[in-house]
Amino acid sequence: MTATHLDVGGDSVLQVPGPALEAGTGGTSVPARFRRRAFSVAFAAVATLSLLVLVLYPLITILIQSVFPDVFSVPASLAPSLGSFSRVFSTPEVYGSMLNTAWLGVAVAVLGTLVGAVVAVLVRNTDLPGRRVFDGLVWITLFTPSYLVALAWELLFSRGGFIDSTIAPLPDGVVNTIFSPVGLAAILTLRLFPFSYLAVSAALRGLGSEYEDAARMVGASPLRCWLRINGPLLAPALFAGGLIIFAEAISDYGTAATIAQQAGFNLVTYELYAAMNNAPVDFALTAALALILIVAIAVALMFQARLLRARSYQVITGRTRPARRLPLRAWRLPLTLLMSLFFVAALLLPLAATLAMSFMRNLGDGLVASNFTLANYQAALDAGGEALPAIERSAALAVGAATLAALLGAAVAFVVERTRVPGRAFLRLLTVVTLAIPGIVLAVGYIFAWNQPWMQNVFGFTPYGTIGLLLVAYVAEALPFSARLAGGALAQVGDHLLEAGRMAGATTAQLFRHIVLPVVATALLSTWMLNFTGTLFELPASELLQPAGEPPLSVQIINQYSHYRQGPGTAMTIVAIAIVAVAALLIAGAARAVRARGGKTHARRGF
Amino acid sequence: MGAKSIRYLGIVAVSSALFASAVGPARAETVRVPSSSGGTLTLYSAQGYDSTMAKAFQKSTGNQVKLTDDATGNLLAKIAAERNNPQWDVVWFDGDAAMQGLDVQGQLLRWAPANAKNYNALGRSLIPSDHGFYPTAVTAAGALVYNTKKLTPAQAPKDWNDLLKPQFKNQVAAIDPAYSGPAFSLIAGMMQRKGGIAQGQAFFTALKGNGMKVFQTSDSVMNAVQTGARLVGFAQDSGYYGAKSTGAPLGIVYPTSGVTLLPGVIAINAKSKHLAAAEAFVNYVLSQAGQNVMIHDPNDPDANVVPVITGISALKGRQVTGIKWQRLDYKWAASNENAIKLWYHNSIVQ
Amino acid sequence: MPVEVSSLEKRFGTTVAAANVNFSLADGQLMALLGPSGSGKTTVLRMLAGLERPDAGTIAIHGTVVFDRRRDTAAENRDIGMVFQDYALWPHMTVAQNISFGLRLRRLSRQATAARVSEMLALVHLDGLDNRYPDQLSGGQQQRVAIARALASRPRLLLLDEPLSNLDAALREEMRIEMVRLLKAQGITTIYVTHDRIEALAMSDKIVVMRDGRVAQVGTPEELYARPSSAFIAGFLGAANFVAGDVRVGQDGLPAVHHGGWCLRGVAHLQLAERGMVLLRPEDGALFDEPESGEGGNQLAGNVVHSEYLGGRWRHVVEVTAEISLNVLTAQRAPATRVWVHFPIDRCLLLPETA
Repeated sequence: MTATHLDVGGDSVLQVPGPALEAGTGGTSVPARFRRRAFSVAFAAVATLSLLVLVLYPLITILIQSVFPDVFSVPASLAPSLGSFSRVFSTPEVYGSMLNTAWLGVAVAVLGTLVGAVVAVLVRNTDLPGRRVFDGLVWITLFTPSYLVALAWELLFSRGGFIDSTIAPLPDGVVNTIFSPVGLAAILTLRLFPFSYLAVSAALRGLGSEYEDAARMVGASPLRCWLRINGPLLAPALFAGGLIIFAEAISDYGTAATIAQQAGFNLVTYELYAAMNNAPVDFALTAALALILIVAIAVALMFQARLLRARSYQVITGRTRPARRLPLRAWRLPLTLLMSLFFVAALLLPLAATLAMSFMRNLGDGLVASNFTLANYQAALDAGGEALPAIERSAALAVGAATLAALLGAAVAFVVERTRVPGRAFLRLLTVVTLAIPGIVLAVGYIFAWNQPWMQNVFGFTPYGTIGLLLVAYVAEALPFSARLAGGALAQVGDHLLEAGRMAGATTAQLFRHIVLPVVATALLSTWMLNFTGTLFELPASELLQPAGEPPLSVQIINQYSHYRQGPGTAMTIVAIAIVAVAALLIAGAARAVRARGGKTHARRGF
Repeated sequence: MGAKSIRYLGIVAVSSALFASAVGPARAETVRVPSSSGGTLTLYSAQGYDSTMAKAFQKSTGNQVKLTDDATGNLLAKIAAERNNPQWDVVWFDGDAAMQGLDVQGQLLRWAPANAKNYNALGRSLIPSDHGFYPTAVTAAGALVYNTKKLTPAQAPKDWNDLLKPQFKNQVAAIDPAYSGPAFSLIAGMMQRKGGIAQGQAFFTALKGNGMKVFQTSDSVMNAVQTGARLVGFAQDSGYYGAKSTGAPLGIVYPTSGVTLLPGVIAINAKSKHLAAAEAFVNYVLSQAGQNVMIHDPNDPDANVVPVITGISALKGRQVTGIKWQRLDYKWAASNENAIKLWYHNSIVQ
Repeated sequence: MPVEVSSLEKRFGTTVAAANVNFSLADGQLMALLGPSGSGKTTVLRMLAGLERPDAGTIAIHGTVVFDRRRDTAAENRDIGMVFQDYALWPHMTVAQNISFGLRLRRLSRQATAARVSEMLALVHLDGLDNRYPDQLSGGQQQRVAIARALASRPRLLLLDEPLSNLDAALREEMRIEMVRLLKAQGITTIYVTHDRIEALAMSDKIVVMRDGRVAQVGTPEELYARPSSAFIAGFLGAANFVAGDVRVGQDGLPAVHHGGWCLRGVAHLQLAERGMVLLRPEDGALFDEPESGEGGNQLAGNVVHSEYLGGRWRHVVEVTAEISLNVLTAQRAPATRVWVHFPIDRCLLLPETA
């Protein structure tokens, strides 16, 4: 057995007894100390740099065009002009769309947060029967892509759609309500509430029962305990979830372009799209509208920060006991029914419509036996051999993007929430602000950012048009979510856990890897799953940045729809959903394994 | 999650990315046959038959084609964003007005393909004077489709003005130029037919007053019509033939005062780095072999075109005679495009 | 000196958390930072650890300056062990993993790590619990794991933040004894923060009393108890009776405090002004049912208004005047209701008057 002469950060030497002892030097080893500090700095730098290069730089290339519209024109010109903004405010339809979007954002954020919180509490903290099923259903709701849900709703409820033509004519009232701002808000709420559910769920995991117990000792009833004690403790999670929902709602394009248009309710995202898709293309107007969206989010963020200032909500300290389950008693049956109905509307109905369409030849002939066929699936899985490579390609890209975004997001969140790196307030602002950018704006920014002529000389190639850039764009799109979700989970980790790690000698990177990551592991797995599905169905970057000859799956699906091949389109969608389902099962298994190994943060809680 | 798991995940992530990049190009490769015109061609196209055409071209000449198939609007946005460093060689979509827009910006190569000699009279009449782009096939930008279950041919409208009649109140479906390539040609064509922008605006406004509703594309219009949500709608006729072939209950009317001719147009990037291959491709499209490939793509409703090349006949059942074609003055349309689209968007779509 | 702290200052906004804090500690000594909450003791501890950055001052550990105007060694490089008030055990790691974390970071070999972990577990009497998770341990066990974890990498300095405050009374006493024995056996220089004077008096070689961010007094437990420099310290270190009055110098040249008709003498080691206080420790008092003759003591007369039995001792409250009540600890019941309370002069202390 040899003695081990250890270098402890260069500041001291630790000797371990053994037959052969070496005398310690007791001096400082300068290179070693620099090395350890360099790792910490490098870690923070990588996290920061990745956010800047992946998100900020492309964002700037599109935003500057709001003020310098000709910076990328041929010939280029730095002549400034506020014309885009004057167009925004002088066109009634455009600023009308801003008001509509604001209303929609707030309405959906409030509704979605409440619904998500209630569902989370019911599932996590009561004895509602079938809890596990409902939890799974929320996840599935989260993963279903927005434009598919919107198309499905249209398919179902429009005049001449599924229900109207095959089951019974819909009363005008129903159709007008669904295709109205209120209906739109309801549909978006059904689509977006899982974000609040996730955030609140994660927070509930860390809530101990001491706080409730204390309240009950002073005579509060269980429900009141719950509301008055745990409510405020859940505040950061509620606000985090609500903010994401707001950002998602105002930058949502899928429902805006379909249901909102039918409702005659114009939204900013539609105007943004229209500006880019009308020739001659008006990037300046797009940029101006994107800038306005960013400002709206920034304001919301400041509001949130002020509300949560100087309050400590760290409730996972490693000593908490699990919270009690609220008994529902007489409310059991009605609530179970309500929840089931809720998910039928949010999930089963759109999925059923999509599934049905995938087996049909065309819609006009209705649900008759002769109209059913397997040809769509055959076409989808064959299609001259184009669909299969696209599926493989997108699946690989989704795995890569999901992993990178989850890790990078956790790192960014860690730097923002738990270190004292200067400028992290700006980083935090950036991660949230980028949530507001519609995918299509970021994608266009990527073209400008990475298609610059000088890159050929500097890098030896132009990144634009390569599959690597598409992967990077996917990561960039997924990064803000990952960072926010990780931030929510991190906010619940006690400072002392990290400080204890520092006292044991861990650098920032080591803290992150050994303490932060494992504790937020289950949250990370959820983030991974979200990123995976989002990337698999991602549309705007896929369309604009697809390498020529290598189309991603989502583009293929949309092309099917646009070439009037809804049958094959829905069939390909179902295939993609099947892939997601398999991935979800794998991830759930992994999550269980992590928890069994001690990833849980308090005592055995049967699900 | 221990250190090992993280390392493992990292490896998975990196290898997935590498795998993805390896998988991609591998699939795009075809058999290499040495040929005089070299280089890989980048093709931006919105046509339904572009993939079949690209494969046939590769097989015939050995030139590789990297195809980006997307909606016309998205392609135009991409091209605009790539302005200072274009990556595309050939662009191909329906609608000479949009192509004219690119031509005015100086982005298109002006040249004369060898196979221009193949054009029939219709084709020749569609070649622009500056030779910046070339027609590949023709469809009607907007014909009228109607639901055969609810209307007999006698009850169907005969001309555009019939749409203002009371029996078509709240029953007309129009298309949106923000989503649909042919839509702009239809609208500009209508204005031209009526005698000018103002007259055209009046007509559309009247239609809107009669309850006309705007849908996104030809296909969404046909969807609405075949399900009975609307009785009649504007649609690109090639789409109609495709839908009909799958058994949809639709009928078509070519209004007597004329339909706007919508040419598929193809052009080469003036800054293309693969000129030889690009020119070879265009010539292939204009050749009889290429045209046959296009028209006989069985999976594709876009194939229901009116040919512009001699010796090629359209698909069975596709009406090519008895259509009053209106030629859109695309220079006029292109120069007024922004104003027309903006007006339409603000006044008719909203 | 292994630990030298001078002129430490820390401000949070406009609040002064610590100002002009100086002390030093010899090798192997146990020092307590004692004070009421808000006195700045935890802030000082955290500054030593490197978890808070001082606004001014210097900190040197074993001759190495870890903080001064030019330098600020990061917490992870100071080689200090720390035990947190809530133990802060990592919930996703077993006991063994918690303890060995620092060693694993230093790339110690697997065998050496395992050996060290066993050693530590034996030291804190938790053998066999290495594969448990923190949530499966009792409070006392968790605390011991926290100590084992802090000591595992043989730090030069050990910091403890109110280590016993979360334990129940019986366990607290037991742990106190065990902890002192352990720390002394390891010979490790220790600083710990507490608001409990009994702990401070019982455990430490040296006490630094803090009040409102400043060092009020430094000394050994006996020094501080016998010669506190203010009424506040006196009262903080033990139950105390104070009688305030005018200071007059007697014929023998010694000062005395006069209150009412009483003349109270005592040891004075500080400068006295016109007003002063006399400190009378309850355990020094004796009750008599008649006045004591002789010059050897201070006497006050009053009525016993409350007596309680503490198990082997009695505590009496004697009301002397409306404002003055004396706590007295004796071995017996009160002899009468009207009593004379007697304090030996050499056990009384004269102090400057404070509010």
